[in-house]
This record gives sequence, C-alpha cells and structure tokens, in this order.
Amino acid sequence: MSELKVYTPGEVKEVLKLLHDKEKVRILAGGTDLLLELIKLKREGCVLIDLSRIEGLEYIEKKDEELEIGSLVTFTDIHDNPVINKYAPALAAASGQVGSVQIRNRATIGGNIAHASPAADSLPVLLAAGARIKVLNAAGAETVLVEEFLHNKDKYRNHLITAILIPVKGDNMIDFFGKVAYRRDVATARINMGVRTVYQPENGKIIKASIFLGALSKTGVRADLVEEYLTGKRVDELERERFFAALRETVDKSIPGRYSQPYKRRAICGLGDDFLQELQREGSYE
Amino acid sequence: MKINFILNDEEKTVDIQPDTRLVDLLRERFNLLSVKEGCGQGECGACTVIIDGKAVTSCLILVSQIEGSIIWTVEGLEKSGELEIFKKYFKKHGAVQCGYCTPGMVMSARALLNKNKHPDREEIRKAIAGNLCRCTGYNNIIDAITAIAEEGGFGV
Repeated sequence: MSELKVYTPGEVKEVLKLLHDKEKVRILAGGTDLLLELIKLKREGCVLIDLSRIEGLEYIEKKDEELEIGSLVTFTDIHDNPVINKYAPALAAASGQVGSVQIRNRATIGGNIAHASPAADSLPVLLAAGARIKVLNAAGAETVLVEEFLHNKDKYRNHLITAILIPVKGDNMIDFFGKVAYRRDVATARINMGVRTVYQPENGKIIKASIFLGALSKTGVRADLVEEYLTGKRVDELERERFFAALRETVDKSIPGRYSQPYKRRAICGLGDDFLQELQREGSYE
Repeated sequence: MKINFILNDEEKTVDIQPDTRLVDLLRERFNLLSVKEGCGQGECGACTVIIDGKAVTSCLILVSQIEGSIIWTVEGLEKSGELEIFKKYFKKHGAVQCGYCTPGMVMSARALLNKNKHPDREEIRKAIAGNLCRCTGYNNIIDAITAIAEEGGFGV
C-alpha cells in the first residue's frame, strides 16, 4: 500500500499554500473521524496536512455578543469551559455527548464542522444559534454562516476553518440540545436536536424559535413547522400534541419512506418532551 | 520523519513514517504490549494511553501528531510503582477476567484520577464509557476504581 504523505506545517500560511498547491489534500485536526478512513486515504494516495503544530487556534473568548472558539479546541475543553457553559450551554451539553472521553479529548469543533457527519452533535446547536465560521484560503479570509458552509461544502473544500463565532445566549433565551441513540454513551445520534428560543421577558411570549434536527439528512434540517407553531405563544399556551405533531411532520417530510421513519417520528417526540420540560423550567412566565 | 516525545518518563526520538499509528509505534517499536488493538476505530478503548494528562485512543492518532507530547502506558505505571495499586484492587474486586480491556481501563482510570481525585460512581462510569469489557461486566471494574480512588493514595 502506498504511503500517505503527511505535512506538519507550523504556520497557517503554510497550510494555505499546501491547500492551494496539492491535490487530494485532507486536513488532519483531531483525527477521530478522518483516521477511520486511514486505509482508504493511503489507497487513494492522499496528502494530509497535520495541524498539530499550528499554534493559536485553541482559544475561547467572549467578544461582546459573540463567543469565539478556535477551530482546534477539543470537545473536552468546550464541555468543561465555564464561559461556554454560561453563554452557549447547549453547545457545552452537546460537546459532552460526543463519543467517549478519549474521543472528546482529541476531536475538535473545527473538525466536526469540516467533516460534517449527518449525526454530528455540535451541528444542530451551532445551526440553531446562527453560528458562523471564519475560513481562510490563499485568496483571503471570509466569515460564513455554518448553515451556508454546510450547503456549499465543495466551494470551501480548500479552506481552513480557523474559528467558530456563536451569538451568546441572552437572559431572554432558552437553549436546548437533545439526542436519542442506541445507548447512553459513545453513541452516534439516531436523531438529535438543537434549539434556541427567544422570548419576551414582559409576558413570556416566544418571539423567535430556531430548531434544527440532525441525523435526518446530509445536513441539519430546520424544523420550520415547529418554529412556526412555537412563535408568538407563551409557554403555558403550548399544546403538547400539536407540538409533537409538528415535530413528526418535520421527520415525515425529511425521510419519507425511509426504513427509520417510523422510529424517528416517535423518537423525536421524546426529544420534544425533554425540550418542553426545559421550556417550562426556564421560561414559565409567572 | 523524526519525532521527539517523552514516553514513560524517558525522552525518545524515532525516525518513522509519519502515517504510522501511535498504537503501532508503541507496540512494534517499543514493545509496549499493554497497548492492545481491539477495534481500531476508537470505539473499544483497549489501546487507551495517556497523552499530556488525557486518555486517548492510540489507534486514532498518527505519530506525526505526537511531537513534544508526554505519553504514558501501563508499563510506565509499572515503572513508577503505581501499577501495584491498580493490580491490588482490580484483583480484590474481581475486575479482571480475560484481561484484554484491563490496560485500557487502567489508563482511563488513571487519567480520571489526574483530573478528579474523588470521583463518584457516575463519574467513573463516564470516564470508562469508552472502554469495552465483555467478561466481568462493569460493576466490578467500577468497584475497583472506586476503591483505588478512596484508598489508593491518589486523593492526597
């Protein structure tokens, strides 16, 4: 088997040059997804750019109304970080459910976005919060919505993700992450859900709901029917059955006829139930 | 490619293909046979080692990624004397049967104790969730790790 060419650049500009110059190039961050394909990568004669010697992409900062997370921050560090737990609690929760301790110690948020597994746990949360990423290539820098990046992966193939920008959760917001899988830990999501809701503090009315479901499609699915149902209502006005019906319909529309449809249309209601409880706990207007 | 790192408290330099997996380097070049390969996909935890204080699966790491790292395997714990404590309590609680998962369990437990001197059972469960055991089940292993945390001298 041919050997894999591995570059270990020490600076971002070298990474960009390699991305520009080389064919069949893949970026190695934590490697917990990419190295599952090691044999295939070798067979195809791929070139790896190992980011382990790049410094300066492992920071977590709050800047005004945004959290900025360097792309090489691991899920362990995100899960344990008090600033993220305060301002993006759903991301902290999702990060704590990625793989095992061993995986979370290596896997990076940038890698999770770039690899974009349909079942990735960080993605529904990032999508719901309207997160953006900073990407670089030889031509320059760009900031792009995670949603846009995921729908235009080819366009960004030779880019390096350097940071993730997440609008912070305000006091009048409720964030949620939920996941259903075959087992409790080290489990790939069968379905997962990220939510950010904004409500009016005066009367508890939900004025904006952003809900994304993962493991239904190649990229996160916006649950627009559910968003519509929630918008304009107070938490105590919500009817469980109508809320669940909107969730089920979202699943039905996403995977009509797929073998997992009967399972997932029920499973989503379990997540919906957890979310409703969170809403009632956090957002009840007295 | 030349790679420098510290392995079980000794400085090492190897000249090796950068696409070699860490598990293969440890087993084949250094004969550290406590590092087992099970699934080769980061699922079973048999190849768990500690890098810079954290438990990781060595099957999903390339040697190019370990430059400057501090790596510990069970052989290192043997050298430092810590392994005796793990042996004593794993034996006492019947936490070993075929033994294949044991080195990985020990390294995951050791990494947990780095971070949390007094873990409760739930925290121990979380810490070894990435280590599969098909023989004894997990309760005996959790009992052993609980006893090590309480009595093993890591709590100081």
